[in-house]
Amino acid sequence: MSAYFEIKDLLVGFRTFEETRPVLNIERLAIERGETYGLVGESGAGKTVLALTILGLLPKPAGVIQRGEIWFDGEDLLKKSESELASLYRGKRLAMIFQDPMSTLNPVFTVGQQIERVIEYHQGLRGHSRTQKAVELLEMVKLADAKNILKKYPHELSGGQRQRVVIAIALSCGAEFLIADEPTRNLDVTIQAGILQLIDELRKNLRITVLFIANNVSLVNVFCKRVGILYRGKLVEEGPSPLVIREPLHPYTQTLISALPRDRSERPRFSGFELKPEAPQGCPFYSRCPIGVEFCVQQQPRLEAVIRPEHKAACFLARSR
Amino acid sequence: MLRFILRRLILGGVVMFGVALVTFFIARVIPSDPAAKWAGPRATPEQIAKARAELGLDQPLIIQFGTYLLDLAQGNLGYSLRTRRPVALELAESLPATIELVLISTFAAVFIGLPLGVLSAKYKDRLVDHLSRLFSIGAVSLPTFWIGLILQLLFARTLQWFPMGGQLSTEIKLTMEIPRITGFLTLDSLISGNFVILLDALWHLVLPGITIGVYPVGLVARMTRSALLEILSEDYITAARSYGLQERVILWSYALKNSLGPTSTVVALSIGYTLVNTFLTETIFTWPGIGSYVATAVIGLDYPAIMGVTIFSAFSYVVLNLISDLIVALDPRVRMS
Repeated sequence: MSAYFEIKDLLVGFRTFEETRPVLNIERLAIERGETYGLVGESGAGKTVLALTILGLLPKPAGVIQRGEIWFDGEDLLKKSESELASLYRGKRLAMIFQDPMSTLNPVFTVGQQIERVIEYHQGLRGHSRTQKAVELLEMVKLADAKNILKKYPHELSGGQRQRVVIAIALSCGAEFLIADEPTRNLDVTIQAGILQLIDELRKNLRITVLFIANNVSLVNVFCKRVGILYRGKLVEEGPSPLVIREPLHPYTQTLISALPRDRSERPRFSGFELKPEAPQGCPFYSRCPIGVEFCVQQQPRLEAVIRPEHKAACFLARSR
Repeated sequence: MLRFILRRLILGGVVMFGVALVTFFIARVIPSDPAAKWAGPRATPEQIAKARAELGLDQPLIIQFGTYLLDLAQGNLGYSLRTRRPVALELAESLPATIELVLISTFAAVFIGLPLGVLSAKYKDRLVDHLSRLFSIGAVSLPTFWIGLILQLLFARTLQWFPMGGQLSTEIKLTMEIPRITGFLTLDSLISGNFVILLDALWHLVLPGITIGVYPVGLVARMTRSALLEILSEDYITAARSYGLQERVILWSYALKNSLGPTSTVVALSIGYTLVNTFLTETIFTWPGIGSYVATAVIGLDYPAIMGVTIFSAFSYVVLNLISDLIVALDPRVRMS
């Protein structure tokens, strides 16, 4: 019996001229219904690749799913055909918010045309009831003057407004699982809080499950129950977010968290990475690890519970300290 | 928007003035005496002097140019030295035949080139794409006159599937009354319900139509493909897919609308290019259009006719550019700025 959402032994690679290079290798990642799971990692760690893989939107033919299962409400998404995914899952049950609201809206259609097309496609609404639904959706994401916004083109809206529109479209057809891929990355700090609050409210009100992707641990801590740390396509640590932030087990998480300023008087500390040679057979973090020992070069650590059963890390040295 | 159009119109006027200036002075340095031509082959010096005065060639250059501009503004392109008829009238007579060719090639560009480009982008690096790219490269790089000659040699001379040239078969021209309503042969025969003539006219259109259409089809296919490929990699396309929209909708509506700017510019410009290309094609297929007209004019150094055609071509280019600018301006992002 798998969880509501569960990734099992997933291996995703990208084809180059010489080889298929692995970019994502996740042994297990499970999310309970209604939970908000935070996925943190630096750029290039494979966060967006994971999001696209779940939706079946991996760029083809470059991206290849080499093996694995992605279970969603009792069905393996990787076994679904493209048309099944499009008509039954994407937009209807699974939705995604992208990083950059500046580029996720089509510049040559009005906001109304873009929302209404999706509503019409999934719900078969037409005419006045379709417009009515679009207005309701914009009001749901707290956009004032919704009727007017429907007539506007994306470039006439601010970044925050656009991201709200994107959220409205994503959730327009009753999706129950939302992937938010760094939804506040390209927004001003003042706007970020509003968008995060909105997502959290929608999660509670609409009872949706959220996979929240971020490159900032502090964002995740605020409203994710659990957090996973992704490094070079691998989960290196996973656990309840307060625990991971307070007592990080993996050296990578430790550097991430020590880079955060703790209070106003303190300047953020950054322990620069000491570069060692790569360890192709061993721990992916070895080359940047401040504490790595010779043993780390020989074998890959697995994600295992350390101290507490719910707090896992993929590090040989985590247990010994 | 109005200011935008006005600015473009003024710009077009400036271009037209430049073209008038250049054609006018080139005509004056051609080593040929128009007055002697006008007066006829065995004219006396007095008759030639009289012709010179008649044509206003004894006036200072600047006055001649002024008169020329004034005439142009009234749509008067002067008189042909060869036929002594108004050039504007002769152009108007030969224009429909040329427009038929240009229209065919434009239709082909839009209804064959555009879908070809879309398919090519959709099936990038697959067989369809390779074939379409091969065709496009060939279409753009093979000279039009060569294509015309080869088609003529193969399909008219060797296989005899299509006629060598002309707009109608000689038998039909001699035995039937040719309808003249709009001047467009195919349209006229259709209106008058004369399907024998219509079929014959269409049969004659095939080879010159292909010759002239190959280039724009290839060009539009290439442009559409590259514009579309760029757009298909945009975030909002991935986003549209994540909403579950069908690939068909995404390709033909969501993405295509974004690529129409560059594509329509290319279509408009290729119409202008095609117009000039007809000159060679018409000569090859003895098609009674502007191309044949100007070819005769060049051989006979009929400079008012040459200038008339030049001015007309430049004018078409300016108008087509204006139209393509307007289409691009329909993009909401351009409209705002």
